[in-house]
Amino acid sequence: MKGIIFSELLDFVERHAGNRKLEEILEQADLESGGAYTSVGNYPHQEAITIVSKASELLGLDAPELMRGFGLELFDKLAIRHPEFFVGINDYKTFLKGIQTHIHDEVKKLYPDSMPPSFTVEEEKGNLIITYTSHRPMAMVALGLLEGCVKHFGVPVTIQSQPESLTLDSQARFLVMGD
Amino acid sequence: MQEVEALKRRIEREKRARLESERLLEHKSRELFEANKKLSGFAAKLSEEYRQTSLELLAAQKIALLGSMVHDIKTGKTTFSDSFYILFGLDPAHDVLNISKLVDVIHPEDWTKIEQLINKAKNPSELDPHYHMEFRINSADGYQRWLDAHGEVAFNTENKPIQLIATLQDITERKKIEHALIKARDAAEEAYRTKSRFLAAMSHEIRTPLNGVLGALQLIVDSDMDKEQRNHFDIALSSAECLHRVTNDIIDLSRLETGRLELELAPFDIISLVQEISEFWSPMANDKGLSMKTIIDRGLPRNVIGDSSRIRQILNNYVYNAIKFTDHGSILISANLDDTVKSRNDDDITVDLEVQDTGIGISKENQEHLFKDFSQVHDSKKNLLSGAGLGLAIARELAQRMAGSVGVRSTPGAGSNFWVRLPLKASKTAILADDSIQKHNRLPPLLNAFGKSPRVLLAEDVIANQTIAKAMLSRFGCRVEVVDNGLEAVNALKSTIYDVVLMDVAMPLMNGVEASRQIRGTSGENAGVPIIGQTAYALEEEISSFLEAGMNEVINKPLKRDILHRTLSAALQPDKDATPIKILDSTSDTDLDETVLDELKDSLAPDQICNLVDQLIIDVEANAKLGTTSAEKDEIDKLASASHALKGLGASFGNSALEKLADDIQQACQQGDSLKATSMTLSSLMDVCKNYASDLRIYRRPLGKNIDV
Repeated sequence: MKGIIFSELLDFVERHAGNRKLEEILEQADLESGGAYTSVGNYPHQEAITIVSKASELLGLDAPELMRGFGLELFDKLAIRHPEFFVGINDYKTFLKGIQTHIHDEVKKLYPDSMPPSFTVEEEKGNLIITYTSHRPMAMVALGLLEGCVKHFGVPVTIQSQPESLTLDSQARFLVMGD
Repeated sequence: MQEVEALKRRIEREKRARLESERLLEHKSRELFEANKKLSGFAAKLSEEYRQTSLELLAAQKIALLGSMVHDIKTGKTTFSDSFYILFGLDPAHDVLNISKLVDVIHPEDWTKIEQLINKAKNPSELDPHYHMEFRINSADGYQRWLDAHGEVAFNTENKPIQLIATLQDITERKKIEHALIKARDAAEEAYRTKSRFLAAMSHEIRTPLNGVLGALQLIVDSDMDKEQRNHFDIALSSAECLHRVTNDIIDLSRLETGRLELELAPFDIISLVQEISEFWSPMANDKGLSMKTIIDRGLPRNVIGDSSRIRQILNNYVYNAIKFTDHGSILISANLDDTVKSRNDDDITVDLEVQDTGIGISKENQEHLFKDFSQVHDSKKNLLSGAGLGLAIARELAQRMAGSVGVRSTPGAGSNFWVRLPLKASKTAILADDSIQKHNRLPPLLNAFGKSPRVLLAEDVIANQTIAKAMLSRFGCRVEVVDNGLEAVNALKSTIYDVVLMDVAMPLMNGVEASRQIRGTSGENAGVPIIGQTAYALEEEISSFLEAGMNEVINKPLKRDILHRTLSAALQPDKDATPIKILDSTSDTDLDETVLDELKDSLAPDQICNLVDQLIIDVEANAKLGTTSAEKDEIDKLASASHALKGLGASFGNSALEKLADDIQQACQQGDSLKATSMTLSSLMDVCKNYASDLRIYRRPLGKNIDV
C-alpha cells in the first residue's frame, strides 16, 4: 500500500488522540518500518491493520468504526491533494462512476507495482450499486470514503452495505440511494 | 510516555522517513537517468529506421514510377515525395513545384481538368472522396509521358476532410500498349466487318445468278430428256440447290457471329411444329424409301413460348442431314419433356428434341468436330460432302443463343441421334386453333347500292400489293381498276364513276391523303365516293388526319380478307349499321408471316399465288439490290425509294422486321443522315431481305414447279 495512506493514517490518529498516544501505539505495534513512512514509498498493508487494532486497543474504540472514520476524513485530504480529479465533475454519481477509469487507472500508470481495489458502479432506477473488491480487508475504509464523497458533493443520500455489518471484509456491495 | 520522549521519537521517526525519502529519490533519479538513456537510444533507432524507410519508400516509388503528395487542409501546406518532382521532370532539391510550373509541363489539352481539380480542392467537402484521372505531360527530355493520378480525401473522426492524398504514376508504357491494342482491335474489327460484308456481298452476288440457274432448271424440269440427260439434269439441280443452301447458311452464320440475330419469343404449338416438320420432309424421305415417324411425350405441354422459327431451323437441319445420310430404314423425330431438370418456376420447362436415323453413323473422332464451323463428314461410298458444314454450326449457335445445347449420339453403321435441348416456357394462353375453318369460309359477294357488282378503283404503287388487293376484290365479285398513284386516281375519278376507292396512303407523285383531299374538293359526281384508306403506319393522330382529308375509313396492311370485306360492305351499303373499323389487328413478328400468304391462297387461283410469291421475291430482291448499289454510290434518293418499297412490302405481307428496318433507312435518308451512320441498319435490312427471299422460296417450292425467279 502506498505510503501516503500510512502518513494520512498516522495524521488521523494524531489528530484525534495526540502525539503521545500515536507514539505509544507505534511503539507497541512494533512495526518493521518503525512507522517512518514516506508518501511515495510502498509498505505492507498489514502494518495499517496492526496500527488500527493497536489504536483500537489503547483508545478503547471499535476497530471497524476507526477505519470508517479514517476513510471519511481521508476523502477530503485526497480531494485537497488532487484537485485535478474534480475538474468538470459536479455530482457524486459522475465522480463515483469515474473512479475505476479516471483514478485507479491513473494510479496504475504512475505506480505500476500498485494494486488499487476494483470499484465497479452500476446505476439502477437512479440508485447506484457499487461493488468493492480488494486483496486488502478494507471495506470499512471504502465505506468511509464513499460517505466522504457524498458529503463532499453535499447531497443527502442513504448508503446501505452488504453484508450489513461490515468488519475487515475485502469484498462488499454498497447501495447508494439518492433523495 | 513522557511528552519529551514522544517528541524525541517523533523526530527520530521523521528523520528516518526523510532518509528513506532521500534514498527513494536517489533511486528514482537513477531509474529516470537509465530510462532517459534508453529513450534517447530508442529515439535514435526510430529516427534511423524512419530515415531508412523513407529511403526505401523513395527507392520503391522511383522503381514503380510512383510519386505521392499530401495536402493538409488546415495548414494549407502541401508536401511532395521526391519522385513526385521527378515524374514532372523537376529536381526535388532545387525546383519548386507550383501551379506555374505545372502549367509549363502538363499537356494543354489536359490542363483544364487538372485546373478544375485544383479549384475543387479549395473546397474539399465538394471534392469526390476518390478521384482518378490520366493526363499527359511534356517531359524535359522532350517526350510526351502519360501520368495516372489517384486521389483520396482523408477525413477525421468527425467526418471533416483533413487531408488530400494523391499518388501519381507514370503509365506511358501501359498507354503505349493500350494504344497498340486498341489499334489492333480496331483493325481486327474492321477485318471482321470486311469479312461479313464480303460474305454478304458474295452470297448475294452468287445467289443472283444462282437463282437464274435454278429458275432455268425449273423451266426444263418437265422437258423430255433421255436417261443420261435426266441424270445430268438432276446433278445440276441438286448442286444448284446445295449451293443455294450454302449461301443461305453463310449469311445465317455471319448474322449469328455479328450478334445481329435476335430471338423472337412468342407462344407456339410445339407438337404441331414437330408434325409439320415431319410432313414437310416426308416426300423427300419417301422418295428414298425411308419412313418418317414422330413420337411426342404425353407430358409435353402443347403451348410453349420460344422462337419457333429458329427451333424449326435446327430440326430442319437435323432432318435434312438424317435423310441425306440414311439409305434404309427410318427417320424418327421425337419431342420429350425433360423432367430431370427441376426449376423453381413451374412454367420453366426443358424440352429435348431428337432426330434419330438408321444411317451410316458417325465415328467418335468425327463427332467431336461435327458442330464446329466448316466441318464436314465424308461419305466415302458416295464421295459426297455434307455441304459447307455450316448447318450444324448454325444449329449449335442458335441453340446457345436460346440458352440450350446440342449434341449427337452415334454408332458408325447403326445410325445417329442428333438432339437439341432447350429451356422453354409453358404458355398459359392457348394458341388460337388453326383458323382454317374461317379461312375456308366463303365470304358472300359484295353488291353496290343498285344490287350490281361494285366498281372499285384501287390506287396502289407496289405491284405485289396490287396483286393481293386485286385478287381479294375480284373474289368478292368486284370489278377492279388499278392506278399507280394518287394523281392517277384523281384523274380516273374525273371520267368514271366508281362505287368505292381503295386508296393506299403512301404513294409517289401524290399520296393518298392529298388525293382524297382533291377528290373531296371537286364538284363532280365522284366527290362523295367512299374512300377506304390503307396504311401500315397506324398512329392514332395520323389516322385522324387521314379521316380529316376525306377518307371514310382507314384499314391496316397487310389486308385481311374478312376485314376488307366488312369495310367494303359497310361503305357500299351506308344505311346498314356497320361497326366502323379504324385500327385493326397488328401484324405478326415473324419474318415470313405465312398467315398472310395462306389467307391469299384461298382467294387466289394456284397460278396466281405462285405469281404473287414470285413477284414478291423479285420485288424484295430488286429493291434490296437497288438499296445496296445506291448506298454504295451515295444516291440517297434511290436508297430512300428502295427502302420505301421494301417497307410497303414488309407491311403488306406482315414482315415487321423488314418494315421496321426499311422505315429506319428511309427516315435516315429523309433526315440527311450520313450513310455511314446507317450502314449497320442497312446491312441488317439486306440480311432480312435475303432471308425473306429464301424463306419465300421454301414456301414457294411446294406450290408448283413453275419457278421463274
